[in-house]
Formats: sequence, structure tokens, C-alpha cells
Amino acid sequence: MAEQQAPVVMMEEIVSLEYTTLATDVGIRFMDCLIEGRIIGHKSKQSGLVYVPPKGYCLMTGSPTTADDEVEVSDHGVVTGFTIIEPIQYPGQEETERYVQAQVLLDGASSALGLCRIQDIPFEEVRAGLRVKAVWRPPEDRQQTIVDSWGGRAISSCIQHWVPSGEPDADPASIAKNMY
Amino acid sequence: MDRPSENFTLALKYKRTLGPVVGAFLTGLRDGRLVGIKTAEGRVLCPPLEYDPANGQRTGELVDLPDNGTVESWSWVSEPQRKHPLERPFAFATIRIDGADSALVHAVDAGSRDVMAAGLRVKAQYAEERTGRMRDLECFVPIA
Repeated sequence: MAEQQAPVVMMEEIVSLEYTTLATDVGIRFMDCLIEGRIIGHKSKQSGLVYVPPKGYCLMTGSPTTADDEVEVSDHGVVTGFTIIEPIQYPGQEETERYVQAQVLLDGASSALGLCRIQDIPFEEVRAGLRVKAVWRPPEDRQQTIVDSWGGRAISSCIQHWVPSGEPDADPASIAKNMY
Repeated sequence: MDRPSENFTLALKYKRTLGPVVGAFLTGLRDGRLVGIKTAEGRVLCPPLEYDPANGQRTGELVDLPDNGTVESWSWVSEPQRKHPLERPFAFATIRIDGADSALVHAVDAGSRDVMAAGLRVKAQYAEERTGRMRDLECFVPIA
């Protein structure tokens, strides 16, 4: 009881927000293709830009895109930016070791995928322009998830990580005109 | 067919020091009593504040207050939500504790909207298990 009598000097609370995300038609289609091992996007007729994952509209022109605009893109691409992460152990953190996350612009796409984990390369050699390829999870391990606007969770449920493909680095000018 | 969906919780844990005034208030709640504070002009604020909102002057002595108070204004919550203090319909009210010159916002477990009125006399009801949080003061109930 002695402790019970001590003055209260600290407060510890959890602020939380609960929300529900509904699957969209384009998201369901994107996910189904990923499970088959294919990555699709929508190519805007107006701008010619290819959105991966498809959004159902073109960000630059606002015009709708539909199943008619569907294109398949490669599972090879180029690192356009990256972060080396030293995980801090906050509640909910699952990572314990240093790792690299990159944005990867897939061949045929105009928008880069975020949160792609890069492996099989020393940290100091990761660079913008590095050519990488997907390492897919075995088909039986691929899980349906809801596709959010940038598709990170859907991608990582089907693609384990990305590794250098051995192709020569991309010319920075070739990736400068795309959207990140 | 129901569209697939996923539920997410975005949560942030935080910890802060309370200082001598809010700390004293929550210490009081844990011990089952209300604490106020005297301003330089002799008014009593409950909940207590470090500064007098009327003029910005530092407040002074902490004072113990009774559990009884009077409803000044109220708003009926007919469909309580998950984070509300009570699961049944209740009123949020400004309550002036006897001996205080300011009001405190809290829930009144009145049972029915018809019971609520400005001037209603209420009494603090404390949680059985108290840990030094605002929730230690569960709600106010009408004095029969």
C-alpha cells in the first residue's frame, strides 16, 4: 500500500485511431494478378503515364482509367531512392536488424513502388540507379490483402524482397521524368 | 456480396510528467477526493490549473473540495461511442464543485435525459480500482 500513497507524477496513455479500409475494384484486380505473379498498372490515355498499382484515374489529368487501360509491367526495375533503417525498438516494432528500403521504378511503370526491401548487397553499395529484380514468395505463401494507394502491403505479401539483377546501372536521366 | 475490408489500429503511446498541480489533482482522484487550487484573488479553480485563466497569474494553494457539485450546462449523448466514459446514454456536463468558482467537464450518469437540468445536484462517483488517471473519476450521479 506504501506505493499507493506516492503522489501521481506521470501519466501514460495510448492515443489510438481505428479505421477500416475497403477493397476497391482496381485493388482487387491488382492483388489477384500479384498472386498469379504478375504486376499490372493502368496506362492513362491522356498522359501516357502508367500507374502501379492502378488507381482508376490519372493523377495528372484527373481522367478515369479502366480495365481497358490495363498493362503489365516488369518485375525488374531501378532504385530511385532508398533509406537505410536502424530499427528503434518502439511498441509494435517488428524489425531488429538494420535494413534497406527503396523506391523501385519498374520497367514499364511511371510511378515508383515504395517500401521495397533490398537484399543481397552491402548497405554501402545501395544507390539510386541500381537495377533490381523481385524475389517472389512461393505461390502458396502469397496472401490476399487490401491494396492501399501505393500498394506496399500487397506487394510485400507476394514479393519477399528485391535483389540486384546484375544489369548495368540505369542512366539517371532515364528515370528523371517519372513520378515519385 | 460484402466487399473485402481490413481493420487497422493506429496507436501512439505517450508518457508525460504531470507537474505539481495536475499531479496533485490526479493524486486526489486516485485517493477518491477532488482537489482545487486558489488563485491570487482567492477564487478556487477545479480542475486546478497552474495559472489563472482570467489574468495569467500563478495560482497558489491547493485545496480539498467536497464530492458534490451543481450542473451548469449539459449535452445529452443518446448513442455513446466506444471511447465515451459510459456505455449507456449519459450527459456531458459542466459541473461546478461546491466551493469552486470554475466548472469541470464530466459525464453525468443520469439514467434519463429528463433528469438533466441546469441546477441539478450531483455527486462524484469514483472507480473501484484507481491508478491516478482521469478515469478514476468515473462519472457524476444525481444526488437523490
